[in-house]
Amino acid sequence: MKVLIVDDEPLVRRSLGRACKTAGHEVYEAGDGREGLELWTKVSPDLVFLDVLMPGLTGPQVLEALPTEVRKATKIIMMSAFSGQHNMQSALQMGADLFISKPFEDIFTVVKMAEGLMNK
Amino acid sequence: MNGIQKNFQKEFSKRTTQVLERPLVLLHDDEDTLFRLIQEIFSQDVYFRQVELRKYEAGLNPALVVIRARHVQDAASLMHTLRAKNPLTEYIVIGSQWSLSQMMELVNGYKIHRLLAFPINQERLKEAIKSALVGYEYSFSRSLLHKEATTQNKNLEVLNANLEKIVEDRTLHIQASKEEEEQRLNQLRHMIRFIKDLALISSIDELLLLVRKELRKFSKIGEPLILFQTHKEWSEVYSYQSGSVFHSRLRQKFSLSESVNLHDIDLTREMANAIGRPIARMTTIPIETQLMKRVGYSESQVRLCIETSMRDEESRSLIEFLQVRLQAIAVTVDRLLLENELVNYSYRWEKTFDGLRDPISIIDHQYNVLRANRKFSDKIIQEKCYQVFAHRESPCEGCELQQSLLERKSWTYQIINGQKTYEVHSYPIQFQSDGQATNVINQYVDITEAREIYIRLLQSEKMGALGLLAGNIAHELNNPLTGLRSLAQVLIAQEKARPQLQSDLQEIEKAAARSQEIIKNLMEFSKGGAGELVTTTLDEVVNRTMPMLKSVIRRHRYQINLNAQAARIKVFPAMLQQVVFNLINNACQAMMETGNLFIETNVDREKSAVYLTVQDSGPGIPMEIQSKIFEPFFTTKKEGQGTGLGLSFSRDVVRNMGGEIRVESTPGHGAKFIVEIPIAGGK
Repeated sequence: MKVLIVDDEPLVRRSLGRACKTAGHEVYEAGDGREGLELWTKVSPDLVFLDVLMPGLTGPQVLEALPTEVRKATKIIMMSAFSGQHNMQSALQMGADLFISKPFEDIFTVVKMAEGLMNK
Repeated sequence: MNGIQKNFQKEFSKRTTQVLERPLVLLHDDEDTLFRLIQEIFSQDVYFRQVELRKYEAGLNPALVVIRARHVQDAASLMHTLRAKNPLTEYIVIGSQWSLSQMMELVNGYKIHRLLAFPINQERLKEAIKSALVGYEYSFSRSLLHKEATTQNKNLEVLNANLEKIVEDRTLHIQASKEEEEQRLNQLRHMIRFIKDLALISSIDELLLLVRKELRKFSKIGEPLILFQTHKEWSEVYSYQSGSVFHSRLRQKFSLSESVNLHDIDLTREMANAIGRPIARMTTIPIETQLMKRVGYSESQVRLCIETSMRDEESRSLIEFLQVRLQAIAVTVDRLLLENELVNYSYRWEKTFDGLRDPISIIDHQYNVLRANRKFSDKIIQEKCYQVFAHRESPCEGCELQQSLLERKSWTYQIINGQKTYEVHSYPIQFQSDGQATNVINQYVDITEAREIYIRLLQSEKMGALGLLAGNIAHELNNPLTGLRSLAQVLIAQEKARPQLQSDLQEIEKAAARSQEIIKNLMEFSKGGAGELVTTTLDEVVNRTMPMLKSVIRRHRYQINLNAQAARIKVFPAMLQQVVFNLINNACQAMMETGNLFIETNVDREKSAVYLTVQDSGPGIPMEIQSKIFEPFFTTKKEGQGTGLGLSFSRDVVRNMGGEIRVESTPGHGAKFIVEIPIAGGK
């Protein structure tokens, strides 16, 4: 499975990427929204971890800019540290499949949730 | 007569002329011999008469009587009659052949000194007549002198009498003028007493009584009254009625004459209408109030009115009497009106100041209260402002009175008086343009509430800003922390073969987790809202909080007694947790070295409340700051170690849940904070 991680925090990308690779997935990383959008259309990932607040394009802006068929072909997990502003409901409305608030309690649980989503 | 005079002047002295005015009388005997003889002796024009002796007229008063008597008895009886009638008359008696004894009788008995014998020797007769006439002249002039003397004496007596009369008159006059003088003196004394009395009176009432007393000596006059027209719309009348002074204010103005008016007909009528009774006749006397006119009452008119039944001429003495007193009365009225005006002014000012919302005082440079309104102090005592206002023995904290005096301009500062905070505006009073200001008007504006509101606003703004900041920090930190922790977790999973590294990684993971917890707390704290009211127990809140305090509590010996498990409380758990955290954290920080911490919860069913007690063994809290520790931004911690909001926030939280927080501390013996939370649903 191809996994794209769009997050401006390198440690998040690295840890999440390491965990996904350990689980046997192909991992792509993007440091901001614009890069993420490019990579997304280029590699057509099965699953995308999308941070909400990023420089350049924000997570929701990336989703908007994405062609509908591309977006629909991908499982999307939205992540945010601002739990108050975004939640599962708003994330679903924007076209995401799952919302995970940061910080994670356990990275492997997150990976498991992602795998569960992809296997649906 | 003139002829006689001329003849005799030759022979007699001048004085004799008077003698010759007297007739010579010749008394004859039965012959004419003597008559002829005498005729021969004297010239024809000598006046003499031959008179019948018996027919002798008493009124003739002759100078000389010549008697020819045959018998001594004849001569004697004749002499007897004549002597009595004419005491001055000289006599010549011509006898015949009388014996010596007969002649002796004549001489001794009838004082006949000229006796001639018949027949007459002409020479001797002439001598005798001459000597007799001289004798007569002598005694006549003596009698004249005597008469003159008598007259003179009488005149003198009259003169004397007149003089005496004059002296008497003078004496009377002097006496009269002395009395007059005394009377004038009395009048003066009376005037002086009147003026003295005037100086002592302190009201128009008293003035009226005094004037009334003064006028008592006049009959035919009624009670005096004093009429004031100092106001635009009304007149004031002071009258004496049935034993006391009656003051009435009439909503009308009278037309008054400017000079003394013996019969003020207009006023009599108007006044009668105004006071509702007939008035016989009113005499009005203007009282000139110079001072009042100078201070802005140019229209003011004052009249002394006297009801009288006197005739005009009788009135004059009354007017005279009053006119000498008028100036003194006018000065007194002036004084009374001015005093009254002053009292009114100061009364109005006093009321104005008392009516103000803020306390106001006038204070000198040594903090003595000179004047103050009621808001400042109910009592008027000579005390220092801080004694009266703040009940202190030294100037209030924050007082900048001296700066105001020094800078000579208005100065604003804040003082704290008990529970209240005042903003003081000091306005220095400078009496001279270049002089030093020694007095200050202080206006005290109570800003306690405003300040509290301001501080709360500030606090909430700060909290808002802090919240925003915390949110941003949390976001910024959460990302790397998430990565850090996740990476550590991944590495732990991958490096199972290297236990040393794994253990290190686990420490990193734990630290990251703790950091995340702190951030979470910070965010919850800063969000303010705190979520929803939850029914829980105080013990549970304390239990949930304790793990977060592990690191700070480690250093100390501590004991936890939780006895409030049974009482349920309705609180914002996160907020109350923060309070517990703050109190225990503070207690730990207060104890420099290893100390004793005692934490206890209790239930008081009586008061329907649960209590949390946090007691430390630190240095305690100085008395002077015990009241301040709950104020926002008050901190004793070093900069960066505390915001000064902990206890203020805690108190707000606890009060918000219907509870209270308080401190008990004796410096040197630690501090005890007690939190009271009401039990849910009352008892």
